[in-house]
Amino acid sequence: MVRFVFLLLLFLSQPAFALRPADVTSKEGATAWLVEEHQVPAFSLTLRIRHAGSAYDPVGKEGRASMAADMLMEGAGERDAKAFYEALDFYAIRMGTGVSRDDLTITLTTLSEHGEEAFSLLHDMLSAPRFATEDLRRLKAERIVALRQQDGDAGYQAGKLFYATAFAGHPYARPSDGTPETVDGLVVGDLLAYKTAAIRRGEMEISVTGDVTPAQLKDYLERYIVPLPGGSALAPEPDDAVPALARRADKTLDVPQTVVYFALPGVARSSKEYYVAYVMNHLFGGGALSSRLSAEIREKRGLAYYASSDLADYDKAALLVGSFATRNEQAQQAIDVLKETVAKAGAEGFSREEFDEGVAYLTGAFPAKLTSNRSVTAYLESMQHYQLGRDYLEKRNDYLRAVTLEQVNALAKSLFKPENLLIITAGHPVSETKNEK
Amino acid sequence: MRRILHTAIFLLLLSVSPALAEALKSEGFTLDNGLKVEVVEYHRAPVVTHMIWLKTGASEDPMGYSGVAHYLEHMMFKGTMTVPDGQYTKRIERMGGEHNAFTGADFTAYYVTIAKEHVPDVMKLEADRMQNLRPTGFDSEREVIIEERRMRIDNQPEAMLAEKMAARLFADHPYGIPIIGWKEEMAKLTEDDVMEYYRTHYHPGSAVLVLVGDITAKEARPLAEKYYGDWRPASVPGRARQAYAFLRAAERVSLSHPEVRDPVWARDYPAPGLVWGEKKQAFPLMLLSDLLGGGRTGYLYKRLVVERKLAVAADASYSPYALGPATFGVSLVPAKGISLKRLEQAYGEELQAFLKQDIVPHDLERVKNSLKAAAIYLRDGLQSQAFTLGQLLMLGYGADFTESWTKNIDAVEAKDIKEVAQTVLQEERSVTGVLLPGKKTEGEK
Repeated sequence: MVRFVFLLLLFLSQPAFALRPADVTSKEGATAWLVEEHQVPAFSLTLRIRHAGSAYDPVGKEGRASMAADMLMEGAGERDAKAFYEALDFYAIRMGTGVSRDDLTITLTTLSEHGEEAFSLLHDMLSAPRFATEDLRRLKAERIVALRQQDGDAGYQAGKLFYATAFAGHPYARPSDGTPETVDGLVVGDLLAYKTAAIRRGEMEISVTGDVTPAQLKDYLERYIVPLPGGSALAPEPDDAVPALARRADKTLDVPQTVVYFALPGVARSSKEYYVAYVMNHLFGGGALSSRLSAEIREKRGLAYYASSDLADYDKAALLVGSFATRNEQAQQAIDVLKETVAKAGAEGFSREEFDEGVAYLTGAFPAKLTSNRSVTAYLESMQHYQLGRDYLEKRNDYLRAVTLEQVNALAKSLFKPENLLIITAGHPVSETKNEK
Repeated sequence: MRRILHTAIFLLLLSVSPALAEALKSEGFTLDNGLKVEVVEYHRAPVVTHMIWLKTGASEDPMGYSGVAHYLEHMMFKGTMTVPDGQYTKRIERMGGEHNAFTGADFTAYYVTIAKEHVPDVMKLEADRMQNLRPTGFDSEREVIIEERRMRIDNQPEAMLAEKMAARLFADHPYGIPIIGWKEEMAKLTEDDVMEYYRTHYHPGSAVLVLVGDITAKEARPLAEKYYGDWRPASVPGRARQAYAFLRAAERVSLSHPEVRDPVWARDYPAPGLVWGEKKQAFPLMLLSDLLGGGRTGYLYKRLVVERKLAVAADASYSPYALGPATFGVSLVPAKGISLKRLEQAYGEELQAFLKQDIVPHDLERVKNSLKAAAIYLRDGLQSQAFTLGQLLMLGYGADFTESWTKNIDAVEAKDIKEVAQTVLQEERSVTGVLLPGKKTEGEK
């Protein structure tokens, strides 16, 4: 009864706070989603370019998309690399580029009074990056050293081995940052080929939050985005990936703590079942301190500082991926606990209490996620990318409230099978007795 | 030509823009028991960040008990006389709250971000654990913090080097001891040690409550009085900090590790901060660190990476937010085939050259612009405001610090930066650290 009243209160408080993005469309059809917010004289932008990620790196050219993303900021238009970075600093524009397996993403935050400069720089880097030979040499040298350093980093190696194993035979398997050898082999022509193939207006999703009006934004789009090369990405999309689970792979490193990654089948963001999976993952390993996994590994046994899981969505695959890090001597014990926790969640599901509390948390915590330009922009980005609808921010909590415990437990039964676990370790897992010598 | 004109116009605008004058605004009051409360209104969503700060941190760890402040921070989630272990997180999450905490050298903070209507419930829970802590699970949580240490330090050779360098630079000063603790000492910490620290340091007189969000000081006062009013005041031990003694000769530490592939070079200098030393040097030092380091635009990057090709990375770092001495750090990663000796020598040459040259006015303006904007960007979001304000309050400043931020930056002249560079970047006061591939050895030369 008490809980009922509480949920009702939450529900009633909801309509008081709702954000709906405006659609800003230029004459030539360049579109951006905008949430206006004028409290602070600044705005944030995310520009995602689909089908421009590392999965499109040619074989032997691993690291191409990622190097191209870095090189976009090393001079463009009238500015060489130094001048480009100095302009960013001079106008206090915070900008970054990065690639995932699927996409290239550029984020920027600027004072609204320098929106003009921000869009101008964005335009230059997408239309006329310098890609100077000497700058590429410099960045390659830096990247090669960084890759060699990460060679001894357990977290990095576990991540790399996770992709290589889970997606063996698929473009996702290859290292996004490249290897020292493939990076060394990259030439300016590779970056130009990437730009021609991938930087296409038809693939762009632009999201903006902050101190800019629709009229201003429309003007920026017309002058700085519309002139970019149109059309779609030229490279064919990879096939759907069939993740290779139910196995284990280990990378030995001489460090005291082993990093463990694990994976199970997931549910795609575009699936009807996504919200069921979202609640399920929260109960299993999504909640930072309160999840089943964290309770078993951290709270009850002190085996790790963190233990969590997340739904990982790729264009061509969906997984539930988690990780924790534990001292070498107890790595196997922690993996056994993971298997038992998965088995129990599959066999018995979650309780009514866990479920009610989980949904109350997920819905109650939502408004706080919409309190900065950067975080709202991230939501707009997902809304566009996954076609969640302009009313998503208003409806999102209803989608979660519509999920039932029965649905969650049915999904858990089909996904949480310990025999399907992919287990990756990087470190030096050893048995307790072996270590005591 | 057009672009130059354009720039000139913007310079003009920059100096008169009213938007830049705005800053964090807070309204505060103090309860009878000495608890200070500061409220920042931010009505973007019906949400409030409740952040309680304590003027105590790892520097208050008794000698031989390193890590106890941080261990206590973990135990603060593990039960009180009326809220059993596990219930705190459960109750906060049921209300849709996000929560966490952190321990610094000088302070400790606990925060919850939650829907406005639950602020009273949160205050009740927070006030309770500040007064009535009775945690369980000490043994398993000790394992958790030791795993945290492994994750942050022992698995990361660069972090191990930084820890060694700080130990040398700060010697007997508490900043020489890692916040998370030395592993050997952490393993011996007991329930009594934790509770002793709690009883000694967690008092209303050493606490500040920062509220940011959809709440006014008028609304906050009766709530604070109701929930925090009974927190009994007690005498707060003075923050007896050892005076810092500069090193009299440059020191070096080296660390070899089998998982290091290429060497790294770093140098740390003690520097004034917002409290310790010549406070007015903090702004020139922030600008100096951007001019020297500062990503791809810094002087060291330009000279050592771009022009002389001796390094692949060159960075400088400085943060003045400390009660004691701050650290001005420089780190370099040599290019392939370049020895650390050669790189170190080149760094010395470039530093001398930098000190001799005039600072280009446009460069100074660039780093000033970037630093000024930080005060605007931090106002976008609940936690960035709560964090900034809380940190300032811990150091004896207030929200007005952000108001004078622009003015303080504008007041810095090129000669001030040269002067602080001369004073601070003295090799004989520094510790140089090198990270090398090889077998595990931690040496000193």
